[in-house]
This record gives sequence, C-alpha cells and structure tokens, in this order.
Amino acid sequence: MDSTNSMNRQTQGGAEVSPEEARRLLEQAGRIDRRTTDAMPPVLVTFAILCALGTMTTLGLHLAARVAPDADFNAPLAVIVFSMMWVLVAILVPMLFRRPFRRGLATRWYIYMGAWALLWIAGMILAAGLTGFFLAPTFLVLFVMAAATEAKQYRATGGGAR
Amino acid sequence: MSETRHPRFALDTTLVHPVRFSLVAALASVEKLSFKELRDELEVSDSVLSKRTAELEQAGFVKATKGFVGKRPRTTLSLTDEGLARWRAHLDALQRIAGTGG
Repeated sequence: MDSTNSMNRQTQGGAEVSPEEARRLLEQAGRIDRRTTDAMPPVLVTFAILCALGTMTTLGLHLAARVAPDADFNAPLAVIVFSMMWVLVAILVPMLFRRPFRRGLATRWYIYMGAWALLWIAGMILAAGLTGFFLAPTFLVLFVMAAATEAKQYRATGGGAR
Repeated sequence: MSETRHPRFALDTTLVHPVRFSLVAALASVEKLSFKELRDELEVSDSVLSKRTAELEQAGFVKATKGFVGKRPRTTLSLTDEGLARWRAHLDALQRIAGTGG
C-alpha cells in the first residue's frame, strides 16, 4: 500500500507540465473552488437572525419585567414562546437548502452557536435586571466577531483576489 | 541539492488525471460533499466518479463515509489530512511552474 502511494505520489521524472498548462490548472482549481463554496457562508445569515433574536428577546424580557403584572397575560412567557418559535424556524429553514460548509467552518459554527447559547441562557436568567439591558447588545458584538472571522478566513484562502 | 530541482518533481502524479484533479479541487475547499453533489459539480457519470474516487481512496487522498438520510443510502466524500497536504503541495508546485509562486 505504501509503495503504491509513493509510486502514485511521484515518478522519477516528475509530471511534464508547461507554465501555460500550470496556469490553466490553477485557474481551473480556482473556478471549482468558487463554484463549490459561497463567498459569504449562508449560515452567517442564520447567525445574524439568531443574534438579532437574542437582542430582541433579552430586551423584550427586560421590558416585560417592567410592565405592571396582569393576571390574564403573562408578558415574559409570550416573549419567550414567540422568540423560541423564531429560533426554531431560523435553524430549520437553512437545512432545506443544504450548502457545503467551507473547510473549518463546521468547527467555528459550533463555537459561534456555543457562545450564542451561553448568551441566550444568560439573557433568559438576567433579562429582568439592569444586567439584561446591557446584555442585549452583546449579541451584536458576537455577530460582528463571527462575521469578521469569516471575512478573514475568506481572504486567507484567496477570496479577496477572486 | 533538492532545492534546485525543477518544481515538476514536486507534482503529485495522482492529480495529473483531469477528473481526479477536479475531484480533489472540489473537496479541498469544503468539509465534505455528497457523491451526488460531486457528480453534479464535476459533470461526470456515477461509474466514472466511483472509479476515480476508489483510486483516490487507495492513494490516501479521499475518505468515503457511507450513511443514511432517512432510508436512502448516502455516500459522503472528504479529503484526508494527508490528501489536503498533498493537494496544497501540488498547487504550490503548479504555481512555481507557472511562475506565480514564491
């Protein structure tokens, strides 16, 4: 098996490729790369929606805690139920339009979602107090960091030259 | 001594074949692709893709994972770490031949 691999890897004389042929092959590799992956990962749109929902839900819970108690209407519960429905939709809809993840994005996606989940839980617990008011915009910071990381990764893989 | 060798010696002959080259190029930028996505991307028949995939698997480039989506069988292909390293070395050699590399 190893001998087969090493034979496949190189021959004694190497492969004969002219500079023109090499340029053509490099262009072909670039074309395939562009067709296979999107410049902006579609999951970044999903993440933007989730982060916006995080801000709105935290603010919604903060404001709901400030309204006068009403025996017929549970304002915090309404905020949680409707926001959770939107979270579910935001996560499920992209699954209908499966697109391959750019290399390395799968790992980063788990990190982004982990950070979002921690913030979401903190928002749910602390929204009523003043901390919740300051926690709400943190989702925006998280999204900007994720978007900047993806843009940096895109450029690092030659995306800026496309 | 080896630094003065022509960059063609650094080319991976496994990737000289056009379909194998395109197949690895498609897998290099993504985590994984299904057999069907690759077939549509490369515009080749199932049998051609199967044959080239098997060659690349044997050469240590590609890893095929078989699974199910519902009741339908689904084969997913991805590059191995070794395959990715060899692909990058191949591209580097091509850039040096083309005169665009460092």
